[in-house]
Amino acid sequence: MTCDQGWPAGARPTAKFCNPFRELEMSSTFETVANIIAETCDIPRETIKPESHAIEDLGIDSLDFLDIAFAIDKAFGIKLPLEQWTQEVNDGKATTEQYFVLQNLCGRIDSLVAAKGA
Amino acid sequence: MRLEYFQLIDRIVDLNLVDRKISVSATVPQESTIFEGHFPGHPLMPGVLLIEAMAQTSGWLIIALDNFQRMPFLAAVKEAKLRSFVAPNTNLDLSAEMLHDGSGFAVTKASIRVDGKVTCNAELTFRVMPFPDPAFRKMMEETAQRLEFPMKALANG
Repeated sequence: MTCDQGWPAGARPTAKFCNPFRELEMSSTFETVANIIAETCDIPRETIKPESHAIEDLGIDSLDFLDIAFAIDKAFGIKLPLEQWTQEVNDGKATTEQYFVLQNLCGRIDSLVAAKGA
Repeated sequence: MRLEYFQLIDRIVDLNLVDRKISVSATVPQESTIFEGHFPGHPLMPGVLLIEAMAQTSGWLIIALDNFQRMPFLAAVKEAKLRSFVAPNTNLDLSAEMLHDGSGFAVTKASIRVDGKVTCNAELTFRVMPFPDPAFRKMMEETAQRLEFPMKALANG
């Protein structure tokens, strides 16, 4: 029996409940991203947390973020849609938190990787 | 080269859109006021201009791959190596290849050879964005024609 069976729509258990390994998968994306940031921007690894905001907490500017995006694109075989994200933030359709808080960024990365495999 | 116009490449020799590589040629001029200062009695092509020449080589590759829709601007220079002196009147063979075509940025690997030997090389990052105005784009297209840009390759590619 899978987690989804027998649950009414909208009342499904959280992913963490369904799949105890999901937290591990999420955290391995986070580990990769945190190591990239630590190395690329010379930021102490222990200050990089899932709730860290790349720009506001870690002080990463747009040029440094290109280096990070390059490394992430290569590591995961994806292309982070930076221009689209920037446009959405500039148009007021999204906040920087949605893309640049690391756990959110890792979620986006996971989706892009999953879409690649689909 | 026309140093005073910051045009540091003379001719596009080869453009391969599939492999994402470009080869260009350039000749360091015999005379320039630049050499009078750099250095008096010992003229040398400045290293930063060799880096700029590699950037221009890479830039034309990026423009070609985007079919003249977007303009690259140099953003970062990594590990630029200037391995030997380059004197006036030297023929340079410059080449660049795309390492990564990101969203709004590109990373290339470029090198300069003199008589087959690598003289300079660097990894370059560019911000890539739509042309700020149509006149600028038109000017780049005219410059491309002067550099013998293979416009047909773009049309067919």
